[in-house]
Amino acid sequence: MWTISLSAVVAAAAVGFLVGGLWYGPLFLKVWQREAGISELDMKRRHPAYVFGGAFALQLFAAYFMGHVFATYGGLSPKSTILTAFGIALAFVVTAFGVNYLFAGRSVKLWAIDSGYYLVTYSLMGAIFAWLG
Amino acid sequence: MGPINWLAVVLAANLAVAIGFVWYGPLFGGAALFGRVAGGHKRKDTPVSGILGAILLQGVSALMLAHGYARIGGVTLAAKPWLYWMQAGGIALAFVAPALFISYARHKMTIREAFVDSGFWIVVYLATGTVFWALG
Repeated sequence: MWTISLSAVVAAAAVGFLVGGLWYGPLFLKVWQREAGISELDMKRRHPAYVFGGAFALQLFAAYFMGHVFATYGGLSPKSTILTAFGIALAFVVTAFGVNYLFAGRSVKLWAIDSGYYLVTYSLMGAIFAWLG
Repeated sequence: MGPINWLAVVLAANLAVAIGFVWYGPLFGGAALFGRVAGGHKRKDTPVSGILGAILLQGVSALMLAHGYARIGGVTLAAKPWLYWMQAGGIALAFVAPALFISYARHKMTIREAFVDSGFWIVVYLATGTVFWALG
């Protein structure tokens, strides 16, 4: 049986909020809102607890599975752990977004912002697993 | 590490488009992104660039999946063939689907769209696992 650090899973799940607060805040909020066609009013439409609770549960699930991947690989160096996490985001999440955004007629800029968020978040998740085991 | 099955990679790269025409056509036509007009951009009627782009992007995913299978190794996969679907389906379920749900909530899209698109990717990845199993 593989050992997965629960503290690493929780920390990795939480890091998405930290990145999200910056990414969809001071860094890219204005551009993202313009490209996505989302107004300030739209931003307040759904109760934050519902959105954040659901997002955290999903992030926990993804983080646990990532921990499972690292556990099955076994003995990865910190650099390889971060690169693997980055590779997962690049090869699976970014590409899926790309296909959906292509057919939706969404802009490359919007794809870059939403994909960039996952590349940074997953890399940090990898770093947390490298640090906390 | 074992060799990469390039025929399976090429076939798998075309799967998303092939399945997409059924998924977003007869099955869930108009429900989600394939038929959606989003962000003020009008959808093109014949998205040739979309098809080529999708094949290219799925090629990257298929190559990474092939890398994963090569890492598991032919001997292990022969003894435990279910790993083909566990790895592919697991990736779609644990990484792609959560990312879509979180992103769609941010985009104020409906939960139905998130389910339809996530379901699409789970089916595509399971089919990709089947291609690698069949040609493995």
